[in-house]
Amino acid sequence: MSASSPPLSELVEATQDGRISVRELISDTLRRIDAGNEGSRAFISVTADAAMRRARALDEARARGDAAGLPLFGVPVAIKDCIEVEGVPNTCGSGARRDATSSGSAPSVAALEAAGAVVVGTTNLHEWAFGATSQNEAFGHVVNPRGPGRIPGGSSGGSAAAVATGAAAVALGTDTGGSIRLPASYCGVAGLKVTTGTVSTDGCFPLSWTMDSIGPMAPRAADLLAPLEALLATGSRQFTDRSLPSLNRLRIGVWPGVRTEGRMDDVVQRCFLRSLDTLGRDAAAVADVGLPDLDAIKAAQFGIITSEAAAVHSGDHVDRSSYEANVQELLSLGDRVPARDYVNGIRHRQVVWRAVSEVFADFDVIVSPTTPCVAPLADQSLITWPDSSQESVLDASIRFLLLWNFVGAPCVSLPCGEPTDLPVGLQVAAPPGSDRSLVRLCSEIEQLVSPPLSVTNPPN
Amino acid sequence: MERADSSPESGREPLPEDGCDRRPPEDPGVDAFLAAVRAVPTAPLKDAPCNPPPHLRGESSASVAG
Repeated sequence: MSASSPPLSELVEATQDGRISVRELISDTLRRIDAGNEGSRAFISVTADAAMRRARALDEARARGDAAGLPLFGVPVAIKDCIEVEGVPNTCGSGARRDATSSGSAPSVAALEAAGAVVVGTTNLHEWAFGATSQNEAFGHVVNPRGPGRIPGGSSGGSAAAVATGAAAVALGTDTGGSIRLPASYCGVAGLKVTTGTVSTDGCFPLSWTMDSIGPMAPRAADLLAPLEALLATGSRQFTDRSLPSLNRLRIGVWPGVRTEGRMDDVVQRCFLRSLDTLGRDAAAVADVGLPDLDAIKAAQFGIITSEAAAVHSGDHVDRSSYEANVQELLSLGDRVPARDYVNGIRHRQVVWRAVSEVFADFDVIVSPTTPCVAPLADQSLITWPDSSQESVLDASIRFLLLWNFVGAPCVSLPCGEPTDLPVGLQVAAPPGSDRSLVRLCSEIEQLVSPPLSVTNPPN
Repeated sequence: MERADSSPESGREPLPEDGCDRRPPEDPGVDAFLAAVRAVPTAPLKDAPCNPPPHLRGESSASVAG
């Protein structure tokens, strides 16, 4: 069963003018979480009492005439559990941090609250945000609400599931190698990986200092704009605000080979090509682009991420023996990467960036499917493609995602699948600094390619 | 039998002084991973100093092409 979900802008108008009280909205949201979380395991902590206190305070503020100008007034938001929320456990999805509680809120959380948002809880994730499945032994495997029995993707799987089930209108995730876009794609919601450095990562437990980013997830691409505006206020770096042309003047670059890729689910290829055809009717140009050697990028990026993660999880106070085996294995890889290869990986970012920058001189955006497959089954480790080749679920899931973390560019994943099938994501990447413009453009694109929006009830 | 790699580049603990390798066999996936990371192409130093790209160093994105 599903229900429609109002656009975020309409929801905020309704709370600002009092047609819906914040108490009523938050109370409904908490009921939804309460009814569904046992089935979805989207949340680790639910902050019901604090959320209702905050809702009362916001309703009182509205009665005083103080609601105007708060672009997230009364909006229920969920925060990935590796980002600090004052007074709330900050487990990072690890049993090893079950007792950790945040003494303050991360700037990204504070920014959403300053815009009027109400935190309703923290969301489940792949342990330490280091994995693509969100299968979590300590806090329960997150269930994909659009495909029970299938993974929601990770590592921000709980955030995606919360948004897909209407348990939050907006959720924060983190994206180091695709951890926002992947679960957004598998769960049929929209997600933004911001230009690296534009949103503060303070108060977020690090996975990889040089690759981490915090960004919003929401039912629609259009719903990403208000939280993005709030989050941009936290950035430590000032970027030129780059503008992208509207769709009718847009030059669309297409990820090399995806039109004829044999290692792709048929439904993904069909939905991607249909979306491309639709966009091509309005766009100024559509053409395949050349990109640098993706195998080398993947090797360099894994070398960097595993090394930095191994550094995070080292020292006398760290006992990795309680970590899940798959995370231990990745950290063990990082322990073995020589410093020379780590440094050369960082240097390779310069080379790749220059090549990608030249592509962006000729194209405004580069599009691809977000993932080459629909959400894999929970017990699946290998994917067999239509061309009979096989690929691990992890390798397949991140194939189109890593490049944009490597060069730090923004990109959006938005739904482009069939209403009755498993979700399919369309990934739209743009030059650094164009985050606002990219979200606006994707709001235009989703009108053309996204299936009708529905909020799915969580599995029982 | 091929002797296990114990060079500093291998990333593995060195062999004990008696030269007898008592370590468990390496996971071939680990070796493949390390080999792939080692094989990342390196550009001339002037083209690729150990700095992130300009926009990741806080420089204006106006400097990027396009």
